[in-house]
Amino acid sequence: MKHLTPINHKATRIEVVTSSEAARPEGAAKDVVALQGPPQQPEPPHIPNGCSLVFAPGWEADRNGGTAGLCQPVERDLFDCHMGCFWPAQVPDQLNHAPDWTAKCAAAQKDWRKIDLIFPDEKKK
Amino acid sequence: MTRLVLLLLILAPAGLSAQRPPTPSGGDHLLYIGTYAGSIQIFDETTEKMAGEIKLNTGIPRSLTLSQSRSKFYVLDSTLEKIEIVDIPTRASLSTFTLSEGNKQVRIRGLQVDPLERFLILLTRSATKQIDRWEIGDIALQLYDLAQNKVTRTIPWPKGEERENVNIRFSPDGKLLYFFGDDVLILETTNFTEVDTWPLSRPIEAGLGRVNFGAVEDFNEDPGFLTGLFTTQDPIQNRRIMNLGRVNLVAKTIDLTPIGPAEGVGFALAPDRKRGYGLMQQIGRYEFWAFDVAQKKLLNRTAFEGRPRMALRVSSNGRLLYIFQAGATIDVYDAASYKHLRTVEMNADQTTNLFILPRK
Repeated sequence: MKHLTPINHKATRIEVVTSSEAARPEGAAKDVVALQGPPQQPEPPHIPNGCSLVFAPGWEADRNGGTAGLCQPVERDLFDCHMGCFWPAQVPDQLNHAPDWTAKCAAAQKDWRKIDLIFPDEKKK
Repeated sequence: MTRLVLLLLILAPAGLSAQRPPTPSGGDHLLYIGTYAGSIQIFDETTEKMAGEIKLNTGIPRSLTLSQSRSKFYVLDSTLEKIEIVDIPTRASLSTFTLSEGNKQVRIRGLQVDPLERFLILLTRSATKQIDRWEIGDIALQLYDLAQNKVTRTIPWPKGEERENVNIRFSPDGKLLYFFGDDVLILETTNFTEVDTWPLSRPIEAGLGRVNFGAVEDFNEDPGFLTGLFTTQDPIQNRRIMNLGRVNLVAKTIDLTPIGPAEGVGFALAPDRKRGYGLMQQIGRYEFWAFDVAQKKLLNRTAFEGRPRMALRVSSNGRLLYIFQAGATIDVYDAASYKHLRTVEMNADQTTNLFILPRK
């Protein structure tokens, strides 16, 4: 597939440069290229998958590190974030200790009042 | 008596209209989606009402993987430990299995179904509980034989490089496996040895830059083809360009047409493959995009009142757009005017992708 054909000397030179760039072995050092600029989009904050996998920051963050991009109302996304991100700081541990904490509630936005309250097991202390 | 007849005459049309299917209709298929109620719920596309449910033995589903024959779902549960095989025509659960046993928990992080349904490729990592610690195993690609109902072999990592996530596709005949990395490594599916390489890390055209090959939805495509939006970054000014492209896995070709600057746009192909729709999601800014796939051009982009976290599907007749994900609603939009028509209310939150399949 080739969409562009150089029709003047400058365009020909660009094609020569880019074809030599393409032919360079992987891992070889790159030349400095005129007009090369920084990436157009800044690096996003380091938050794995937009989820709070650990206690920092302690709440779910959106891909920009804020909360404006989260679901509204928050109940809408409660289960998906809980399952996908585990939300260890906010919700019971469904995998090990409280597998049924949402057994009576399948739609969080409608039935959130039916979600169980989980307290520490006094016997295990 | 006359008053009663009059009352019936007045009320009759209202009763009929209440039962009339919503218009415009999205088609006559069935919508399947996994839910937090531990089931796959089925909605009639014509009436937009719930038409059935497949109760799962493994509880809440985390993902549904459709077989190439479109007759089975391979369901991964929310604990990532169990897989359930569901027959779609009979709406019956066929079998379940887990790789966990004793003090060893094996989490399945991803799966691919062989087109001939001889085996599954599973991406797994184990955690073994010892007396004083958990031992975390290596991440592994395993082959689960569906006839023998057990893992029969571990597939060595191509080039010995372990991956936390993999992007794997099969050729339509199931004889080749495409392992997407910097390049596409092509393995045969008997001994899983490398038989070919597709050097996608090299620019396919001088100055274009390498193609970023992310997750591409192929639901409405022919087996072995992928249509979607691909990003390239030119080596001169590092500009990230959005391209509308179609990949032919068997021929190892990709046909790209630049559309404009790269933006975060999801893509859904209409069933007729002539039209595609994009969904742009930024904080407080949501847009529908329409693509003419045949002419390879962007037709329009229109802002709409969206919400955070959305996914897009095109109805079976191409006239409606379904917005789903995160929550218990499916918003229905007109594909021509992007007008919000109505909302399908579910009784449980969605946990998987939405599949639109013909009635059997």
